[in-house]
Amino acid sequence: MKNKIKLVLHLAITLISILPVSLYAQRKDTDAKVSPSNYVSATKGRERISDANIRIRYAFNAEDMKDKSTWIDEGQLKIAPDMTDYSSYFIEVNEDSLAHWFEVHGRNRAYPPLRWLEGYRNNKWIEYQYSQITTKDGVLTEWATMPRELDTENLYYTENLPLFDWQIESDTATICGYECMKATCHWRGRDFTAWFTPDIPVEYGPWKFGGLPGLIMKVSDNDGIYTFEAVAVENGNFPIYAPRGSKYKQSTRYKVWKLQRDLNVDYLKTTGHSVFNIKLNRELTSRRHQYTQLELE
Amino acid sequence: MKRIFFITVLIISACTHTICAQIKLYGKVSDTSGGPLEAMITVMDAGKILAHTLANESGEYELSFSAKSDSITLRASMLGYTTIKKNIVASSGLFNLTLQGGKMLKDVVVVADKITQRGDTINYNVATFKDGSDRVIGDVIKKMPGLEVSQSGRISFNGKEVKNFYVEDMDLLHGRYGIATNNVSANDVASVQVYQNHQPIRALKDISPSEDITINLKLKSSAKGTWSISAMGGGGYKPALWTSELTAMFFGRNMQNITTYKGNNSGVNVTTELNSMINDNQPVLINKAPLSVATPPNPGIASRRYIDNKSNAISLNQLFKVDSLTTLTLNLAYYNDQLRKSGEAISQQFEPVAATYRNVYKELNACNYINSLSAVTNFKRNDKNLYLDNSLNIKADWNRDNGTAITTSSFTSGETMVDQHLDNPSIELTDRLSFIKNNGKHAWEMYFSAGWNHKPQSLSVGGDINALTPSENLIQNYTTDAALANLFTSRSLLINKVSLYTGFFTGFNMENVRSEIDGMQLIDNDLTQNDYLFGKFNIGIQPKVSYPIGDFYAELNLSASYNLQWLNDRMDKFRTTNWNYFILMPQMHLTYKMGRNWLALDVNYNRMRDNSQRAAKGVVMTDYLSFRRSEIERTMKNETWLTSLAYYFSNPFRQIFGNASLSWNQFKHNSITGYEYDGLSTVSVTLPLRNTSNRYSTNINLNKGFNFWNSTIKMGATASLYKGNSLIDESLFAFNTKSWSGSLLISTTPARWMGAALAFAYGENRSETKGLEVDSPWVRNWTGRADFNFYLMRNLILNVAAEDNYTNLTSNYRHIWFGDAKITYRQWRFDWCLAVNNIFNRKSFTKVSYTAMDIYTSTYKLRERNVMLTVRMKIL
Repeated sequence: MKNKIKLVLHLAITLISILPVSLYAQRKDTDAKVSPSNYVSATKGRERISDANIRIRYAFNAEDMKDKSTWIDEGQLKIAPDMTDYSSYFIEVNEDSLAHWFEVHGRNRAYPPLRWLEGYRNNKWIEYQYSQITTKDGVLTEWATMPRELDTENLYYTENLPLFDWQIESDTATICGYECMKATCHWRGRDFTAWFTPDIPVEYGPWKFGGLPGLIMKVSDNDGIYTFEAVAVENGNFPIYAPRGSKYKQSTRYKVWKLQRDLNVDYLKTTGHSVFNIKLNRELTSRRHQYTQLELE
Repeated sequence: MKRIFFITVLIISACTHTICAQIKLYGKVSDTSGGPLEAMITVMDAGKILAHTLANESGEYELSFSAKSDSITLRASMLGYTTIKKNIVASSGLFNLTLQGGKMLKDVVVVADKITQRGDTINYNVATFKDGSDRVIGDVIKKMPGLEVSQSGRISFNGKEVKNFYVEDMDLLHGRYGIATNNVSANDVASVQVYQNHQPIRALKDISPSEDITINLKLKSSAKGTWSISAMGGGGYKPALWTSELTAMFFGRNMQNITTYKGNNSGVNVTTELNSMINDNQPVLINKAPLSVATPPNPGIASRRYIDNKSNAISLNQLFKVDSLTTLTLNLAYYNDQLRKSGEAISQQFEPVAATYRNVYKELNACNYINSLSAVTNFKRNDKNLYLDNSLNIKADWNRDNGTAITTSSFTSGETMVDQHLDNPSIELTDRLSFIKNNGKHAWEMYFSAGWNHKPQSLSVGGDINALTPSENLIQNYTTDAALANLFTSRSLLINKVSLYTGFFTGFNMENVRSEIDGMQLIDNDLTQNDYLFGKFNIGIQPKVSYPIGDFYAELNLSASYNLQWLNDRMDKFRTTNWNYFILMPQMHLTYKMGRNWLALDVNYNRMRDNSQRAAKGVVMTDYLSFRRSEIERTMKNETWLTSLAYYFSNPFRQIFGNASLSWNQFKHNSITGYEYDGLSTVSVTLPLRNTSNRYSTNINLNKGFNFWNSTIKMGATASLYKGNSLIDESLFAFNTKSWSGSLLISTTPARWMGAALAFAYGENRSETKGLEVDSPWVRNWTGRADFNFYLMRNLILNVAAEDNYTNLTSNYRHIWFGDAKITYRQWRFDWCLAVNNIFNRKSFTKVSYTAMDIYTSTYKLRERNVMLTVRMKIL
C-alpha cells in the first residue's frame, strides 16, 4: 500500500516536472497583425544615422535552420564604430524592395499584395521582430513598433546597458564557422546559455544580450523557448537607419514590456477593438495560446 | 600566545597568497602609429578566460584577477586588427601592447538565400547553385529556376528573351553574351541579377516604360580590377585530336576586357558564342545569297558528336569608360574553320498526279572553308537629358565550299555523280545612330540607320545531272548588292501619365541583282540571266498612345505610310516600273499587372505589298538539284494577324517561375510557292493562288527550385496546330500539322559526393493532307540524357553521362545510345581532365523529318569513340 502511494507520488512529481518542459519555442501565435507598409513608410523618413562595417545575421526561433520560412525572424546586428543596431533583416529587405518598387512604378500604383517579407506567419506581429535595439555610449534604446491597430502608439525608452553576470565555462563549439566558448547567466527571470567567439572581439550580441569578451553567436534560454543563432558574418557597408523618429513617444521599460505582453496575450482586449459576433451573441476574445515573454521581469 | 597567533595568521596569509595570488595587470594598447585602441583584453589560463575588460578611450586598461598557474596568456584583440597573444608569468605588471591593422573578419554565410528579390531586381546567389563540376557561369545559369538557356546559348527569363547582358553594369559584349557565359569563371561571380522592366536609357526612364529583361553579372570583389588569364591545351585519339584555349579578362572600374582564342579539331563549336543573341536594332538588309552546296541536313544532336572541324576563333572585346556616363566599346572577332560533313539523305517526295512517292537517294560529302571577320565599335553617352549611341558594324566573309554528291532514284537508272564548288564571299557595313533629348516633359528621339553589302556568289557543278545540261559544267554566278537608309524621329509628350508620341519615318531599301547561268541551254537565252534593281521607299507617320491606369497599361500604335516600289529590269529593255501603296499597320499591347504576376495581350496587324518576285524571271540554280524562277506578273499581297495572350507569374521566395501563353497567327497570301519535279531536279515555282494559313499554339513553362537536395525542376509543354496549304505540281493541297512536345529538366545534389542532371524531351507530330489517301504516320521523337557527377575526393570528379535518342520512323536503330565519361583532377592551378567520348562507338545517326507530304530521312556519320586528355591552367 505504502509502495503504491509512493509510486503515485513519484508519477505525479514526474508529470509536474515534465510540464514546464512541454513549453514549446515561442511562435507567432498572437492575433496581432502587422500594419502594412505603404508608400510613405517605404520611402520617407529613413534617416541614416551611422554606417556599420560589420553585420551579423541571426535566425530567431528557427524550427529548421535551413528553411527560412520556419524562422520567426532573421535579425541583424550592425556594428558601427560609434553604435550598434539590432533590427529585423526580413523587414529591411521588404522595405527596400517596396521602396524600389515605388521608384520604378510610381506612388499611385497599387503595390504587390504579396510583400517581399519572408519568415513564419509574415503578417503577424511579435515584439522581437518589430522592436529595434540600438546601443550608444553605454545606453540602450528600444524602439518598439506596435501592431496595426496601435501603429500611432509606437514607443521608445532608454536604459543603461543591462548587466549580465556571465559565468564563462570551458565548453567550446563551432557556430557559423567561428569557434565559440560557453557562458551562462540568470537574467531578468530566466537562465540563459550563450556561445560567444573571442575571434570577434566586441561585447555585443543579438537583441539586448552582450557583456561577454567576444560576440555572442548563439543565445537561448534554458527552457528552449527563445533562440538566436548566427547565420552570417559579413564585412561591408551597412547603413544604420533611425527608426522613423517623430512617431515614437517616450515611455518606460515597464510600460513597453507590459503593453507588449498584453498585446500578445489578448490582442483584441488590449487594443480595444471589440468584435461582436451576432451568432455567438458575445464579444470575441483573442484566441488563447501559450505565451511567455523573453524577459520575465 | 599572541606571537603564536600572529605567526599563524602570517603563515596562513602567506599560504593563500602563494596558492591564489591576486594579480593586477595594466598598460596601454596602441596601433603601430601609437594611436590608442579601445581593444578587448582577456587573460586566459589553459583555454579558460580568467578576466576580461575593454581598454578605455586613451587605450589604457587595468585587470585584477587571481590565477592558479604560474604562466598565463594575455590577449588583446580588436575588430580590424590582428589579435596578439602573450604568455606571461602570473604576476602583476605593466604590459603595453601594439596591434597590427588590416585584418578583416572572415565572411561566413551559413544559410544563404538562393534567390532574393529587391523591387524589380531578382538576385540569384551563384554559390548556392554551383557545384564542383561547374566551371563557367553559363553552367550555373542553366540550373537557376526562371532562367532558361536554349541550345544556341540564348537566355530567357520566365519566357521573355534577355534584351541586355551586362558585366558589372557595363555593356561590354553588345549581345554576344555567349563570350561571357562560356568564359567567365563561376568562381568569380557573386550573383546573377535579373532586372525586370529595365529601361537602360536614362533619358527615357520616366517617359517610356519598358518590359525588357536585363541580366547583370555581379562579380566578387576579388575578381574586379585584376587580370585573370587561363590557358587550356590537350590532345586525343582517334583520329589525332587537339584542342587549345587562351582567355584573358579584366573587369575594372574604367575598363573591361575579354580576349579569347579557341581552337580545336575535336568537334567543339567555337562560333556559337561569337553570334549576337539579341536583336540590337542594327539595320537588316533585304538581300539573301541563295546559292549553296548540298550538305547533309543537321541531325539535331550535339554538334560535337558529328562535326569534323578544324576551327580557330579569336575574339577581342574592350570597353573604356571615358567618364561616368560615356563608354566606348570595340568588339573584334575572327573565325577560321574547315568543316567536313558527310552523310546520306533520302527524300520521299509525293507526286499527286501518280499518287506515288518519288524517292531520291543522295550520298553527300561537303567541306566548308570559312573565314569570317567582324568588327563592332560603339560609342554611348547615357545622360539624364541626352542619349547618344552610335554603332558601326563591319563584317567580311570569304568562304568557299566544295562538295560531291552521288544521286540515285527510284525513277532513273544508274547513279549520277556531281562535284560542286561555291565561292561565297561577302562584305557588309552597317551603322546605327540613336539620339534622344529630354527636357523633363518632352523627349525627342531620333534613330538613323544605314547599311550596304556586296555578295558575289559563284556555284559551279560538274558532272552529268539532267537532260537540260549537255555540257559538262554548269556555272551559276549570282551577285547581289543592297543598300538601305532609315530615319525615325519621334517627339513624346507626357500629359497626366498619358504618353503621346508622334513618330515620323522615312527610308529606302534596295537590292541590285546580276545573275547568269552558264552551260544550260534554254529556248530563250534571256532566261539564263537576271539583271535588275529593285527598291522600296517609304514615308509615314506613327502616332502612339500609351496610358497606365493603375495596374493596367495600354499602348496603341497606328502607323500609316506611303510606300513606293520600283523595278528597273535591265533584261527587259531597262524598263522601269513603279508601284504606289498606302499601308496601315495597327498594333495594340495591353498588360495587366497583379503584383508579381502579369497578363499581356498583344494584337498586331500587318499588310505587305511586294513586287520583288516580279523581277527574277531568269533561272537560278540554287543547288545542284534545285532551280528557281519567277513567272509572276502581279503584286504579292500578304496580310498577317498576330494575336497572343500570355500570363507570367513568379514568386522568387518560393523559387517558382512560370508562364503560359495562347497565340493565334493568321497569314493571308495571294500567291503560293511550291515545287515542280523535272527528272531528278526540283524547280521552285510561284503561282497566283489565294490561300490562308492559320497557326494556333499554346505553351506552358514551369520552373521550381527546392532547398531539398538543392534541386531545380524545369518543365515545359507546347502544342500547336497548323492549317496550311502546299503546292505540288501545280495543284494546291490543304494540310494540317499537329504537334506537341514536352520537356523536363531536373538538376539535383542528393549527397555531398554526388550531383545529377536529368533531361528528357518528348515530341509527336503528324501531318494530314485533305483529299489524299496517303498514310500519314505520327512522328515520335524522344531524347533522354542523364549526367552524374561523383565527387570521389575533394579534387577528383568523375562525370558519367548517358543519352538515348529515339525516332519511331527509322526501320532499325530506333534507339541510339550515347555514353560519355570524364574524370577531372584539380590540383593547385591545374585542372587535368581525361575524357572518353562516344563510349558505345556509334557510327551513324538517322533522323526523320516530315513536312506536309514529304518525308526526309538523313543519316549522318558520327565521330568514332575517342579519348582526350586536356589540362587547363590558371596563369593569373
